[in-house]
Amino acid sequence: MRVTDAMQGDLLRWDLQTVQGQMMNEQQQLATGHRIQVPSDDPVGTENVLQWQAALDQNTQDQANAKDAQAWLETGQSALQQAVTQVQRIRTLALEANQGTLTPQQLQSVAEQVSASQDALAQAAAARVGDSYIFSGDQTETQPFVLGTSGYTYAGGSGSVTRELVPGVQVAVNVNGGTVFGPVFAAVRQILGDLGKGNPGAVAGKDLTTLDSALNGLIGAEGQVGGILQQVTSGQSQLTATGVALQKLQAGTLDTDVTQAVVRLQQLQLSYQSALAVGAQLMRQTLADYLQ
Amino acid sequence: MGGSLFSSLQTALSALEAQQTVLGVTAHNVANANTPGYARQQVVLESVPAPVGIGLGTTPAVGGGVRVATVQRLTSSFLTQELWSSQAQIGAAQQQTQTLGQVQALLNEPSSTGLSTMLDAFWNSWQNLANDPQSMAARQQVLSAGDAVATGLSGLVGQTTQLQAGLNTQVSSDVRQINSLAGQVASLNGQIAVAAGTGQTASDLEDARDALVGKLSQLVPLRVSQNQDGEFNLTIGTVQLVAGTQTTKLLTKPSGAQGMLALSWSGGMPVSLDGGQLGATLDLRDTVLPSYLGQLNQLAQGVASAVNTQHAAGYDLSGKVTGLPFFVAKGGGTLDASTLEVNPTLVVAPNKLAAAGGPFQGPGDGANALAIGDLNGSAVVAGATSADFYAALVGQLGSETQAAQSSLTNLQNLQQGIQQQISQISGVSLDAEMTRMVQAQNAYAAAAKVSASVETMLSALLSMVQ
Repeated sequence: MRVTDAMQGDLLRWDLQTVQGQMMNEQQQLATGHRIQVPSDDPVGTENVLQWQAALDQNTQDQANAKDAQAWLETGQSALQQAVTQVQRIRTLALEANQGTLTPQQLQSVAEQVSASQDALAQAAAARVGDSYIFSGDQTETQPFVLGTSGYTYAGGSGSVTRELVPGVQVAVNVNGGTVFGPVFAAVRQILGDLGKGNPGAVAGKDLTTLDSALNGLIGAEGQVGGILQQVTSGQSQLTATGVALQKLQAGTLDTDVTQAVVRLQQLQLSYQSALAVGAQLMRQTLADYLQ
Repeated sequence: MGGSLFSSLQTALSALEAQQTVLGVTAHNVANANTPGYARQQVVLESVPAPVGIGLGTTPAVGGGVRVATVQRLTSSFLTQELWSSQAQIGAAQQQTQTLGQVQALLNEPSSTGLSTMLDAFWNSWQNLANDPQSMAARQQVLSAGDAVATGLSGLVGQTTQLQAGLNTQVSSDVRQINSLAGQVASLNGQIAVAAGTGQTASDLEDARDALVGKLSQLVPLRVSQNQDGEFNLTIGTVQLVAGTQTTKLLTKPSGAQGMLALSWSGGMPVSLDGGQLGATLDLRDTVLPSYLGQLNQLAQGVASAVNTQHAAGYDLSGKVTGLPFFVAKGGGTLDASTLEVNPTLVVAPNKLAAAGGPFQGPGDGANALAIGDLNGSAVVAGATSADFYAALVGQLGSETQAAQSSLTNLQNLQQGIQQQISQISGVSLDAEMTRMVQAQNAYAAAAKVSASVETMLSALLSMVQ
């Protein structure tokens, strides 16, 4: 083979450029922490990363939805617990009223206590998450029970509020105030009426039966909310697990393996330095150096 | 003549002259050791034979010294042709790599600021609205996320269209360059033919012409042939770009609505280019970029039509069916990626966003917003979800760019190999030139010594006469 000076120079330049290009690539991977800078670095990987990112973003939203559902259900649960306490207080008062030895003034005082509990019940029914009344059905801007001439009546809507846990799976995050609290207020209205008429027997009799059935409805609703809350909570932990798995997948494809990149960079540096050293030695010498 | 002293003097003189020529060519070679495209030259010496029939029978005839037969230019026309054809492929691959790389930079994926993130944020904003339908903040969020998608898409389309216009400008500058280079080759053809006719060497003119053809073949794929006068004929397709000293010009003419330049030959023949920088530029301008633009439009139309249909079915905050589309075309034209915008009616009245599903029950009803948010997982664009469609588009671009890049790398490696082979034949080796220089020096000194001794002999002869 005939070796010429241009060949040596060209080859050295070519080799140095190639190694420099590879070093730049490794440096970029290390500096950004990402193995894929542009889609052409790994087209299939990029497509996967984008799809996983879409799934991750969906997952983040699902988690936000679940958190919102949790807030509604927890608020509902505590409001229903308060309501149960108030109804049980009214029940005790109703039994007290029928002891047969109460004066009209004493009956009046019982009626006032019942009325106060009724107000507390209305307050519990007006529980809110953010600006939304949770027991007003779809009429989230309307207070569910307001005191009118015929006592507390339901002013909310009939639709239910739902949240999507994962695409396609929706849960109701409230119970309808009209269905759950309505009978309670009706029973209390009866009790107050019979107390006003001085009829404690009816209060402890048929009124109490009505109140008990309304209380059962309330307790049933509490159980229902608790059940859905459990479903949401377990859904949440599943969503978190899915999110972590997706992040792992994405990191595996997108992130630089630092150890490997550093080792590769060192190998490249070694060959770069060797090429420089050898090139510098070879390029210096020609026959002209030895001619007198 | 035999071996007279005077003829010996003549012989020595021819040697002095020949070695001077050798030294001169060596100097020329050394001077051009680093000139790109320079093919080394070599002096071919031949001995001058004794004149026939003049010798006097008894004394054998002696040769008349040395003379320069020719100054040879050392090249391999096979390798040069290989180099030129690889250059056309490199020109194409470079153009593809560069343009596709620019499109990749425009898409800016994978990142947290690309269109994919905007789309995800848009779908999620609807789900947020579903959770809190009466919230003005949630409504505003939907509008701004929709605006981000619309401006993102129209920005991408606008920049890609600009890229296309840039390629169009390049077509015209490439054509100008091709015509100018072809003219220069034709003029060198003339000079080389003249030099050949008068028996002169035209090595340096040939170097210049080779360099021009090299530049040309990067722009267009050429077939090169040489006629008996040493002139090059350059053919593109079936048309002779250069025939001897004649050229056929490439012409450009704006055509179509966008004023894209169409090519034709000055003789009216159709132009067929398969490769080279110009061929790749035309392909990118007319096929590759329009395909990506088409896909972006498909994405815009798919998303807009699905969202619009669902949105028109919903109820606004006051319980009315507005039937309004969410996305509209700017200026009322065709709805595509470049015209996409959020309905201005909704922008000024966010309460008109149809978050509620029918029949309307109350402001807490976010069923329609949820239905729109769930379009995220529906096949709204060409049988795929918006995220999958866009990911596939990015993947396709990545594959095409990668293919262009690796073909460029392979071609450059190939070209490097050819260059090395050419350099083996045509390159200047300083060591070889030094060796030749010393040889010439020695031969020159020896010839001078011969002259000197002839001169001594002549003086001895003359002193005998005195």
